[in-house]
Amino acid sequence: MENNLITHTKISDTVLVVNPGKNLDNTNAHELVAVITKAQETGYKYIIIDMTPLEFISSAGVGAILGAIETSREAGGDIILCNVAEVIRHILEVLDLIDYLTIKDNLQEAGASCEVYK
Amino acid sequence: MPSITDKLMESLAIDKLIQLSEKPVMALDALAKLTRQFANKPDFKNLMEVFILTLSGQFSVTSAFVILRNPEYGYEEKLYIGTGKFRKDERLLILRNSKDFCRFFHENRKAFRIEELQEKSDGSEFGKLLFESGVKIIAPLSHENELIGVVALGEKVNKVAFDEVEFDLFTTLILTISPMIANSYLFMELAQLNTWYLEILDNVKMGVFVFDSQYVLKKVNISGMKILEELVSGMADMNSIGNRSIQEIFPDDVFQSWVQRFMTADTQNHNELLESMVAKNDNREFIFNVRVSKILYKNHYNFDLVITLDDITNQKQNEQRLFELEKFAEKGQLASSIAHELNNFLALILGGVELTQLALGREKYEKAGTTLEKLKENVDKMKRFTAGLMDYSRLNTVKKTADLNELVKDVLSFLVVQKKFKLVSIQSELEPNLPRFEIDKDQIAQLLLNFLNNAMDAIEEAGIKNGQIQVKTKLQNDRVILAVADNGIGIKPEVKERLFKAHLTTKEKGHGYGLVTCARIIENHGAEIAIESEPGKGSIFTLSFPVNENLPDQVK
Repeated sequence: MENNLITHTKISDTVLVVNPGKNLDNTNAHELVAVITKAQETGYKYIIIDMTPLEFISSAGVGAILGAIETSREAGGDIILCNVAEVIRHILEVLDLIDYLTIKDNLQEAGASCEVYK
Repeated sequence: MPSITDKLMESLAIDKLIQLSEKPVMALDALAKLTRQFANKPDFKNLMEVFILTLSGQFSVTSAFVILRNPEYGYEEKLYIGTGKFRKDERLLILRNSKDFCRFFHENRKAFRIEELQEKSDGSEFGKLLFESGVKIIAPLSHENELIGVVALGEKVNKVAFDEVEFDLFTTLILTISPMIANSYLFMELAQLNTWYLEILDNVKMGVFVFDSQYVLKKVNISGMKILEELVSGMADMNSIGNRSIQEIFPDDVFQSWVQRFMTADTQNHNELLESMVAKNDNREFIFNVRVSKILYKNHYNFDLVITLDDITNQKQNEQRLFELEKFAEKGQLASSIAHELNNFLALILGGVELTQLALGREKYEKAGTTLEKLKENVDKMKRFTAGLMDYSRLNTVKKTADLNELVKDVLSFLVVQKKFKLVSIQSELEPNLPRFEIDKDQIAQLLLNFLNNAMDAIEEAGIKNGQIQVKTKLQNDRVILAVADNGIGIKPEVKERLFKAHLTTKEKGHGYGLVTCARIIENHGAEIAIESEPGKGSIFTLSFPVNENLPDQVK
């Protein structure tokens, strides 16, 4: 369970980095939703999901991210994925999501994209 | 039904096959995991959320929702779960209570594309609502003819419509997982039902105790706890009293030998009611109505003993208060009826004075002397009356063997000279062979006076000139009869019913207490009264006294 712990770090008043742990699946997808929803309600426009340690994502994990994106974009913000491993990227491709999602190579780029949007 | 893979093989180009076949594989994987979770963990709400997330991830949609039907019992759990823009779309909530919506899916157990649904439901409100909300495909969650709810997906992120393969996959997923969801839902419903019952139990005013076959406490509700807290020391909280025996819960020093009565209670067919059971400690005393019932298990060996304590302490206190109030009211009545009786005595005395005046006027001193003697007797009676009747409890009856005819003559001799009675003819018809029997002469005189006065009033009220009052005594089947008849206004039937109750009067200046005293006197003599009356024609009051019965000398 330790591997699936969702943590988050504030980097500015509008940007929050969320770290989903090793697996994002049935067991913790709803937690990710809860974290993101609360962040959005608190006023974070941008949420960066740092997928560095992520080894597996299930449909539920994908669903959690998708559900949050619309809300973010409607409020003029976004959900940005970064450090996406190849295996995860493949799943996102299978699901036809690459064009829809904002994916950056690393945290720095992801942070910079938030600046750009600003 | 052709499998998903078959369909894929038919409809898709080879180069896309590898990519797309991963989708169903992923879906199956997710499904397997979810199924396991539904089977293992009954945290229904959480699982439904994951289910929705899985669907939206699987079909690359940003929004999905599930609506569950209202459970029959209990308070509402979250019955609408949505992601993306459906998360906060409250308009969709009303579908939960839409009969048309439920009926539609009850009749059509299949997945629909929104266009098809609108067509099939013939421009329904819910079809319009779903369309406007952005729903693209929707399917019922049902199992064994039970509709549990519906699942819907919004638009795909690439804005492309769901293709046949995806639609089939959606249908298959929902069909496969429906039984799990249904069971899980029913489990939740049961759990809620249980909670609901427990809450009801805790909300009832009565203390409820459930013991097992070994007479060990299984469950007690809040009211039951309160009772124990008041009465038994060391009953701190519900957790600490589990596993206690019935003797510990209802110790004999407080609940006086209740346990023994529970054990011997007849619970074979019904519950048994043990009324007004007293429980007390040094500080307090309670009165309970206790019900004991047994719930037999199917094996007929084990049972639950259910004991219900209804605190009627206040009720008993109220009853006591009411009783005292009644007594108080009776005293009030009595005070009035005394005044009424005194009036009668005064009338007698007045009659005596008039007789004396007459005698003196005719210089019949001897006659005047006897009349004065009788007058004195009457004043004495009045004295005794006031002394004896001031307090209800002191209304003693002192009976001596006497001649009723003599008594009647006495009373009449005083009455006939009164002005009021001069307007009517009073006839008496007295049975000469009347046996002497035990009566309280004062009380019977009072009674007769009352009847005569009432008869006179009835005649006056009728406004007739040839008023007649008849007083009769006779012997009938070993009973002595005393009857007073008049041709006055008579009594209406509804008035007759209440005649001997307090506060009844039909007279303009009366207060309705006279006959209450009469009723007491009749009772004191073990006599019976019959009233015949016809409105406008007159009344007959008939008293019948037992002659041979040995009545106790003093009847309260």
